[in-house]
Order: sequence, then structure tokens, then C-alpha cells
Amino acid sequence: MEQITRLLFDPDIILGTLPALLAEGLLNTLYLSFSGFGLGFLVGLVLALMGISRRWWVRLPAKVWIDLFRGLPAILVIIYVYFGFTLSGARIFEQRSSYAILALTLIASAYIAEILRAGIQSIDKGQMEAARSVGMGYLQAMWLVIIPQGIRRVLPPLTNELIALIKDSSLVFVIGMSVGDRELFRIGQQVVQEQGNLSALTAAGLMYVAITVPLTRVINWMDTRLREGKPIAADEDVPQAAKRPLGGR
Amino acid sequence: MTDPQVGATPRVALRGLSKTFGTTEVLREVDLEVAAGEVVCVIGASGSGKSTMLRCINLLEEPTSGRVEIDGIDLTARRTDIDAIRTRVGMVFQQFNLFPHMSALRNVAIALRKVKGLGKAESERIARERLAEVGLAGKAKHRPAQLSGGQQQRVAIARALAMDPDVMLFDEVTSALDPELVKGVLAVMTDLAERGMTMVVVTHEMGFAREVADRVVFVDEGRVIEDRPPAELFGDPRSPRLREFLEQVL
Repeated sequence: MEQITRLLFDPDIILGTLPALLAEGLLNTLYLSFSGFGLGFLVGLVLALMGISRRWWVRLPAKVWIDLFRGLPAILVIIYVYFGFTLSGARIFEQRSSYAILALTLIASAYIAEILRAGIQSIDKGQMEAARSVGMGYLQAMWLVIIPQGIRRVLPPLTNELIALIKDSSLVFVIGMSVGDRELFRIGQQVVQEQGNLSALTAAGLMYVAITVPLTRVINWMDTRLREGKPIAADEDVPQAAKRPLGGR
Repeated sequence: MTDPQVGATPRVALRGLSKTFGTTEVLREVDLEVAAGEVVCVIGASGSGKSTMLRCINLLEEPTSGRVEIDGIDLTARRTDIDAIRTRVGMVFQQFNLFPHMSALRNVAIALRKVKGLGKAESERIARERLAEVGLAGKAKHRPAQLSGGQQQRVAIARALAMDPDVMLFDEVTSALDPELVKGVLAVMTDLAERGMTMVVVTHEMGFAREVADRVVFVDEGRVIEDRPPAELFGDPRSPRLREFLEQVL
């Protein structure tokens, strides 16, 4: 029993790894996953719009893209992107982390595209008709009227995807980031190899939990609010809530 | 309610308009002209095709065959800029279709800014004027969810009016309202008619049709069956279908 405790929860190792995890790993994990999510969101939005096109030749490439990057294991995408480019001599980026972000973007874009498509399609078609009837073009109506409402409706699944991506970012260890660029898992894994003790990974794991648990709380809160509706300031003058469109641009 | 000008190009003209959904013929060779300043009410049973006819006027439904003309411009022609035409044709829907994530003011102002390209101050000034016209000057900052159905529908009317359209289309705009809210919306429409707006109004409000319309059009099974001034049409319905319909609704 004591052996297991030492193997997983050695306080000296955990405390010893903490500075590197906090100063280097946490920042890099957040950098990789948020960059991948942000870029994946933009690509995903384009894919979602392509996916609801009336023209099959617009839908088809989006569908292939989504099937591909949702179907492949994340680690395969990371390996293909990094080693595919570097070994073939096409060194499009200087930094390894850029390849990692590209891979995470591809993965995230596929999931986010499906989430956004569902959000957009859930908006009543009267909204598009009303927007078109005042003279907006299709894309303009999408951007000003449909997408802001659609996104709000899928905030919970989008946050889920962010959590999944934060965890998937650990897989970029296969690229072999060097000191300074290492994310949480890589730091933990290196200490484990040096010391033959799993406690450093325990510390890394705790960091992931520390990021993702607050996010799940945010989802639950959003879920409740979306279901029960926003608390509305009752009377006349400028309800604060109405002043600023939630998530509006 | 000005006198239609004889011989002038009609503001709205439907010519041989047909629409099929799958194998269902919703509209069959409909001809209709509406002169500038005229108020035409369209009545008929549900499923008669009257709403589809209205939605063809700004091409929310694409006609299967036939033409739609606004001031003589053929909307179905390939080179016609439909977005530009739609700014001249205001539409109000049964379900209001306000943008729920925007305040009443922004609902009315947004197309002025983003379609007409007016500045923020100018578009908000116009939007406030339009809201005042429909009696909602005090509700500018409210979200649609904070307004009653009748108020929402009046915001929707203000939104359409903001573009300064030549024609207004009304698609059963009081059907989703609680009875006590209908009056306020009809009052706004009556006021609009008196100011000379060209209006095509699909409605179940026979009182409104009788009092405000210049002509009433009865549609049945996708055809225009009668097209006459309200006093004649209600006083002396010729076709058995219209008599039957009026017996049910009056």
C-alpha cells in the first residue's frame, strides 16, 4: 500500500515538478489548446456553412474533411502533420508548436463544424426570411442574425469540445517538444522516465483537472440558463441584460 | 386609399403565377395587379395558397412559372438584384420573426446600417421615429422576449417601414396574437393605409378587410376566384365557394 502511495503520490516529486508544470507546462497546454480551438472555430464555421449549402460540390469537400479528421485518432493526425511535413522537407513552420497547433486545429475544426452546423440549423427559418426580407444577402443574414443565435445555443457542446481538445493536446508529446515548449504531459512524462515514479504524472493530471473542472461548471451553468431562460429585469427602463447582446459582436 | 391610377404601371403584378410543391399545385395561373396606394386584402381558407401567393411577391417562394413584377421590373429575371428589390418591399410575418438577440431599436436599425449603409446615429434616429409611429417609443431598449406579442408585431412593422418601402406585405399578422392585442396592430395598419401605403394583406380579419381594403381578393385552391371592392364582395358573393367560406368565418 505504501509502495503504491509512493509510486503515485510522492510529495517530494510532486512539489519538485510543480514549478515547471506551472511556469512552462500550464502555459503551453493553454497556448496549444486555445490556439487550436480558436483557429479550429474559424475553419469549423466555414465548414459548417459549406455543409448546409444547397450545392453538392460545396458540401462534399466539407463532408470529407469532417469525416476524415473526426474519424482518425488524434495522435495519428499529429504524427502525420508533424512528420509528414518535416520528413518530406516541407518545413512550413519554424517551431514545433506551430505544427502541433495545426494538427489540433484540424481535429477541432471537424468537431466544431458539426456542432455549429447543428446550431445554425436549429434556428427557425423565419429568422432567415425576416433578414432576407429587409434586403440582407444570404451571408450577411447568416453573420448578423443566424450565427450569433446559433452559437449561443451550442455553447455547452462547444465548451465540451474545448475540454476534449485540452486533453488531446497532451498527445503532441510525440513531436518531442524541447524544454521551454513542453506542455503538461510531456513534462510529467520526462520526470517519470528519469525517476521511475509516476508522481510527476499525477501532478500533471491534477493540472488538467484544475483546468477542465471549472469549464464543466461553466457548461452546467450555461445549460441551466439556456433551459430556464435569462433572468429578465422586469420593467421599463433599460434592462441591463438587454443592453449588451450576449456573445454579440 | 388613394384612387388607383388607371393605365399606370402597377406597383405589384403577378402574371400567370404558378407554384408547385412536389406534386401539389399550390398556385395555378394567378393574375393580380395592385396599383400604387391601393390596399388589397387576400382572404381564403387555410391551405388555399394565399400565403404562398404573398411570399412569391418578394420571392421568399420561387414561383414555378409565371412572373412577379414590382413597378414593371421582373423579379424572376436572372439579372434582377433581388436583395435591392426586397428593400422596397416590406414584409411582416405571422410569427413576428424579430431578431431575439437584439433590442427593439437594433431590430429596426440594423438593415438601415448594414443594408442601406447609414451611420449609427442616422439609422438610430430613423429607427426611433418608426418605433414612435407604432406607439413604442418607450420600448427601444427592450428585447423581443420582454415585449408582448402585439408589441413585437408592431416592432416588426416598424422594422419593415424603416427601409421606406413602396409596398408592404402582411402575412396573417394578427393570427398569432391574443385577441386583446389584435386591435393595436390593426390600428397601426389602418393608419398606414390612410397615409397611402400600398399594401397586400393576407388576413382572417374580415372587419379590417371590409373597412380598410380597396379590393378584396378571394383565393381558393390556388386560384383567384373573386376580386372586387369589399362592399360588393361581402354584400353579394357570387361564387358558391366564397359564400360557403363567408358563412364559416362570419
